[in-house]
Amino acid sequence: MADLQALTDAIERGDRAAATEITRTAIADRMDPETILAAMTAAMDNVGGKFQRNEIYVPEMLISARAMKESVAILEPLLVDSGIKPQFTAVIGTVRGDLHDIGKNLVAMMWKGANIEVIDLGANVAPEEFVAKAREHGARLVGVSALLTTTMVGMKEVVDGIRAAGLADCRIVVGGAPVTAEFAAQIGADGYAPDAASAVEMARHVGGVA
Amino acid sequence: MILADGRSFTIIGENIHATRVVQRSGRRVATAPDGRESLVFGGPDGSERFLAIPESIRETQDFANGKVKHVQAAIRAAMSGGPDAGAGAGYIAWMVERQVAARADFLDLNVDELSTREEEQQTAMAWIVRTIGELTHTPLSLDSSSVATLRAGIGALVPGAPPPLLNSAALDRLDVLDVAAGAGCSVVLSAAGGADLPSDADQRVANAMRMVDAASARGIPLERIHIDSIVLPVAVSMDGKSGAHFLDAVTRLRAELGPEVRLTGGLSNVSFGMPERRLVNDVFLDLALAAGVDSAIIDPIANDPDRVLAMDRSSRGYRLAADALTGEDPFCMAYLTAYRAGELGASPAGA
Repeated sequence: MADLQALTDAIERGDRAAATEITRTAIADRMDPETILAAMTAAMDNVGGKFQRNEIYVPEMLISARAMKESVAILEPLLVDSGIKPQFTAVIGTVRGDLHDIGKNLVAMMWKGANIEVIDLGANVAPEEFVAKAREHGARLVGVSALLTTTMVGMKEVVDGIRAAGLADCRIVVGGAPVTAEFAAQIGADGYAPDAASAVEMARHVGGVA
Repeated sequence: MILADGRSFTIIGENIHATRVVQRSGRRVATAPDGRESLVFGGPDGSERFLAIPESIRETQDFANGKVKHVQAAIRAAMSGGPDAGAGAGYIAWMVERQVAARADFLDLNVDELSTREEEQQTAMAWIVRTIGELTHTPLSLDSSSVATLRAGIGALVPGAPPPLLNSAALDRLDVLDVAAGAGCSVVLSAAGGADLPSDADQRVANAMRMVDAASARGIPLERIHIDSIVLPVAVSMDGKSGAHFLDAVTRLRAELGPEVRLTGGLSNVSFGMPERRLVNDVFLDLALAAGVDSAIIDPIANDPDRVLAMDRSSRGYRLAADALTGEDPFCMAYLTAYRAGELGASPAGA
């Protein structure tokens, strides 16, 4: 039988050759796809924790995420066949007037690693588009990023738009360099994440997944 | 400033930003004799002085997480007019003195994060421009993503102050060019695109050239232009080439536009997400100088250009950082491995 702990370890150290090979072996061994997936998301959880404790750096997060992505791609058809779905769907983007997408991309990557389906709207996204895409995809979570004080005020329009649209199950998490917990509370967001790893915790918390 | 090798180089000192953070556990924060948690700084006579951290900062989640936005603390204390106003103003004077001593040609002032309200940002910009103008004749760089805040800064210049640098105009902020033309200021032209950030050297050059054309159309000569070719963190680029794209764009813009224009960038962005940022920043400044940069938005206290020019380019630390910065070391793996093994060296700078 394939060694799923070795799969977790391979993804954690960003070894895509080993990760994809173990994934293929696990599939050939007819292991439960959900169990294989759990070994992968466990790796990204460890990566997030190490990043928060300053034990690893951003490039190492990236290389783990790449190994994860390639391994999940191999597993994907089996997940679909078994009816295993992502935990929930999240919509993410940078607020209107703001072109910065680095933090947003890191969060999207870590959310995918936590088995959340991510619809990435890119940068400079109008509030109406956040609302339209959240409705279209039945999103449980909307992530809004801003890097400028002049654009972060636009986050309130996203929050107001989601509320006005009556998307009662949809929670909103905000982040970005100038954004603070106080600002998030002030505009009525459901959560604030100072970095990509805590964005995963926040997503699980507000998304209602333990 | 003039570099040790005789070249002219403009330092836009980036320290006086409301975004700046010090750690509560670090040496810049201590308990004052009066028992209050305070920022530590130096008085004009070299004495140790304390600025009590204002209540508005102490209430934040950042503060609870161990971070103090120190420039914001000083501005808030000074502007409050309360009992700590003198210490707040003293803190800012201390920062100005250190930047000038480190040979900053401009002091870059950014107060955007002080408030989410435009009027409050403008009031703070006017206040800090006036306050610093009374302390030094060093030119100011007014840094804001709001044109109204830039205008507020220009309006508050003390009589006889040298013309400021406006940081920055961009394809989606062309009105800053009108302000620069009207006020006779120098201006930073951002090579960020109108709809997204540039992903290669071609886009950087194309955006910069459009900005130069727009500035020329308003009668702004090349001598008053600094082009910011956009430095993005190398740690977050999947191909590791974002540093190389910047350097390539600088080389091409220098060839295209000649010696009059200043080529600049927020160089310390490059090291975001990496350990030993000072080493990475030093090496990137060296590479940027070689590519044709003659201006930089940096902290001259941390990254002294003359010390950078004297670095030993054959040292292991230098070569590892340079490889990471130019995309020769995918995901910075060799660099990070050497860092963990303690092999980067404390500082590769020459003696």
